[in-house]
Amino acid sequence: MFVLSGYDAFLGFLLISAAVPVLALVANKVLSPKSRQGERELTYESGMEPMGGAWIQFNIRYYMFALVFVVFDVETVFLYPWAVAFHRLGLLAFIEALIFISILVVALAYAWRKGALEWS
Amino acid sequence: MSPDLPSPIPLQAYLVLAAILFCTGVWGLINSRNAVRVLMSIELMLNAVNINLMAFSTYLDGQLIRGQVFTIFVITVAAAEAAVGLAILLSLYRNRETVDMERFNLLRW
Amino acid sequence: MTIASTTQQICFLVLSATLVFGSLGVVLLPNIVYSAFLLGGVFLSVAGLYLMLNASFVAAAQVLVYVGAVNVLILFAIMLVNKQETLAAIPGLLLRRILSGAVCAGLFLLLVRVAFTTDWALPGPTPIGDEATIRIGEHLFSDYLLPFELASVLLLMAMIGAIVLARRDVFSSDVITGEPVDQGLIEKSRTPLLLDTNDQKRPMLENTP
Repeated sequence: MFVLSGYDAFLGFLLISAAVPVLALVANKVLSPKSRQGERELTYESGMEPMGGAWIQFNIRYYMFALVFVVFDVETVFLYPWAVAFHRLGLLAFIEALIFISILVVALAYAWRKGALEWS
Repeated sequence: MSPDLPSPIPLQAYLVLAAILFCTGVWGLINSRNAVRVLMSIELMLNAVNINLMAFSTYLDGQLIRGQVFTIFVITVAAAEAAVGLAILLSLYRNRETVDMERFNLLRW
Repeated sequence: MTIASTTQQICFLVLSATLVFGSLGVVLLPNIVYSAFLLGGVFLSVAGLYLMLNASFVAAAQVLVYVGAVNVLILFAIMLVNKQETLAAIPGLLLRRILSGAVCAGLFLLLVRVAFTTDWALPGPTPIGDEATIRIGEHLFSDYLLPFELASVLLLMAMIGAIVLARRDVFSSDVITGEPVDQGLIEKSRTPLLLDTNDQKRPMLENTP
């Protein structure tokens, strides 16, 4: 029972876009000359010599930004159906959505106050 | 396709798939040494539950789709759980310098 | 015009194969970074299954929240705690794994038996398809209004809790030497200075057996 419309075009796009990276990598593998030695092995052929491993510890500020992003991402998921069904819902739903948003504005103000939004 | 034709995929296929995902999640939850992997197993189990809800919503409740609303709420709770769980994990790592589940044993009997 | 039934079956098989092998990889692979990326693949194939179940909005929400946010959060957490450590061996690990595997297999058989013996009320009403997003909006503002408002409170609490747990407030200058302390919130070189000065003397929690 698949009743959504327009997803045959989506499937076509999906297949084509999945084929693009595969074709690019395979063509690269087949066509490129094979000289894998010396300078060719470096990460940046004409740049700084990389030092240390790639497994470094990240700063926790990245985690803070990701955290704030998660919360407002979920907020978007709730607000989208409200926007789509706006004409059928009326004024009361508008007020309810305002309550929803104002509670999350409190969260934003807290994050701001705590400095989770600053890079410093 | 007209709606009265039988579906090419039975409801039981989705249920069995969700059962496989859930049991994999339970096994990973019990056996993981890394605390991050425990959280990932919990996400797998929540996704299995969501597949069940969505399958029932489409096959048995096609007009009211209460299962889809439930899935939205489960996704919300899962996002909140991941945020707080990983913050707890970071706090633990700062105090104990490890993510090995076998060494978080202060409350062990 | 919609997708033919054979195409649907092929899509279902591909998605379920990705799902099963991806989840096994999440649980079994030794490198946690590979597990995290495979988890993203599992989330994406679950979103594909939602599309096949006529739920385009929930599929989009799955991609947005799980792949876009939760998986990124997990990857950041992995990069924050990625010290390579050798795990101490546990006696009876293999026995434990086999036992828990047997329990999980039993649970799986039970679930399959329930799925095949229950008399589902099939076929149900026709799925509404493209109208689903509007119907979800109507649900959220009528009979699911209280959970909707509580969801915002839950998100508020989760954010405050996570910020408080993940941050550690430190003094801006070292109390002994007077030199400025860098505000990197995870400090490895010395014990972090808590705002409560009594806690400075507290030894790190030992690994008590």
